[in-house]
Amino acid sequence: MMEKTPLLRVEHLVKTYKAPSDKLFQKPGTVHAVDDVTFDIFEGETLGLVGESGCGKSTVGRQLVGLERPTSGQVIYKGHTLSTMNEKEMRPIRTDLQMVFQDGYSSLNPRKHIRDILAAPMLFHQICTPENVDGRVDELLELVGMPKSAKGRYPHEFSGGQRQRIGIARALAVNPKFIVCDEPVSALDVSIQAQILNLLADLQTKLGLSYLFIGHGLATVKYISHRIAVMYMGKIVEIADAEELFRHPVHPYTRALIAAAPIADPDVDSFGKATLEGEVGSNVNPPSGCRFHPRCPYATDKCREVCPELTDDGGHMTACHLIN
Amino acid sequence: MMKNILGKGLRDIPAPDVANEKYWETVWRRFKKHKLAMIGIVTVAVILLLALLVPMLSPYDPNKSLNVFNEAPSLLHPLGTDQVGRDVMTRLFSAVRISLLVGLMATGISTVIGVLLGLVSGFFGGWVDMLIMRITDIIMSFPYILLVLVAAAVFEPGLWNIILILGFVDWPGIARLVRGSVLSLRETNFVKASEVAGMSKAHILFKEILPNTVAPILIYTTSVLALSILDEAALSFIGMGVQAPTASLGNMLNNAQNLTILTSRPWLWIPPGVMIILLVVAINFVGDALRDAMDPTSGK
Repeated sequence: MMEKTPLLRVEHLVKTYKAPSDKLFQKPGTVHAVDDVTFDIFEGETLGLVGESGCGKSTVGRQLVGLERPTSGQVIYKGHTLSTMNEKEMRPIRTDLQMVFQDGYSSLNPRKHIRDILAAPMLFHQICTPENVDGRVDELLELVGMPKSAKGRYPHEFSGGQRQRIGIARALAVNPKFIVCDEPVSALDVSIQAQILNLLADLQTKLGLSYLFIGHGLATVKYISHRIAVMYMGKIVEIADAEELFRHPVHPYTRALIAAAPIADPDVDSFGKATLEGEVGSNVNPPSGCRFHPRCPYATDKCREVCPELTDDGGHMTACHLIN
Repeated sequence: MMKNILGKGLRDIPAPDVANEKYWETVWRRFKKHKLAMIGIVTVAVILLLALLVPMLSPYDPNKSLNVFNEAPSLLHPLGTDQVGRDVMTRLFSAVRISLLVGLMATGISTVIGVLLGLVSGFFGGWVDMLIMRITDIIMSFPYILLVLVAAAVFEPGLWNIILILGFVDWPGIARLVRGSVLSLRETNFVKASEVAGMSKAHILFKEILPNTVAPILIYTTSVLALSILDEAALSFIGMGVQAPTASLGNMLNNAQNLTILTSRPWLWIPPGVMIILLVVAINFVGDALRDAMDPTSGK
């Protein structure tokens, strides 16, 4: 087992929201967005987080960078428990944890020059003096493969891929250790996706960064991640090394996900493969027992009653009754 | 081929360098395409110029009687004289000065109040938002002219009181507008990114959010400006606004409140009436064009 201490540890993270009630005097329900999620991220590592839309993966990401407060559970970064800290205590740590957003356009202020977008956080945290900030902006642009001439331009003058590069540069401006990448390539053309993924991988080696890479495209997540966590309805159902997960998926949901990914080979018949039946259940009234049991072809009575725990099998963790 | 048909080849027409254009250059380029707005802006400019020059160059004092009463327009008095014997043209343009002063100052005051309350309300939310928005609702639900009348009665009517009263009555619309755009901007990723970068609330509010609300604010203030000019005219018309002998467009109309004057001395009421219409229409045209020019989604 790994002896290293994790850079970032998430323990029993829970996030619930009040559900809007449809009727006037109805008691508001509770949406269980994230339900008891635990994982570690080590230095220089990329943890991929996959799952279908609405499974809570973005909520996990937002909680790590402090955009949302967990309902319960902890985010521990280098021994500091973030969720118990106030704004002032957070400040020095805050810059260590940054985020790259999905849509490169709305993540850049349309009224500001690229130079100002990149310089603002550095000046605010006094990473640079007003005299040398321009040099640092040039460095950042070079780091993400953008020309220096981009400085005097506005976000709308760039393509989606370029804007995403600028978004990455902005995250790097405050010298972070850890970056949450929230579907950073989902909105891009396939050819551009590869460029951005390679850029992220290069930056990781150059700067020793750790990533939480959130995505729903299995291929992209597999490409960049060292380990992958699969989420279903707010719970992690399986975590394993990327290769291992694809070679030996254990959880029925992971298997279905991998089977559902299109194969770029016309000779492979993907119609015969197991595809999932039914709909994702409601987050307001989640199914009892294993969240996946209503769609699981192997569900037993135990699955309907008892919620399975993640069990470790040599670094490959799965939450399923069938393997025990 | 193209060249022969059109007389001018496509290459001869310089394409606008859209990529390197600054935001305000884009706005101005689009604004110029609006014919009505250009007419409006020229109209306002001409009226402003006349308002500056006429009272300065005129040989008459706008508030002093010349002992020539109710004279029809002539070379000496291009717009005639009124019943007190004052030159109507000199009075008209000093009235424009007063009306524009009232309009601009009242708009300025209501914009500052509205923007600040809107920013705070939208950004902080919760009970602060609740409180500010209920006050806004109360002021908006008051019969507006009655409120102004009561205020005018309590604080003696006069130039500066009119400015203050109008300024304190016109802000709810701006506050709501700003609050609305702050609410949507607060959810954008660039504000989230600033939060993640640990920037202060003041920075986020004034450096990230405020610049993005400038366009709607500016557009809205043009209509507030037009409205304030109308409100001043209305108040002065009923005698609760700018007080004699100072001329304002409203109280000049007030002097024409009888049938003899309306039928036999049109030079007393047509010029101020036309001036109000011209100013208000021109300002509204400018506002309309700004709305189109500043909308980032409206293409090139």
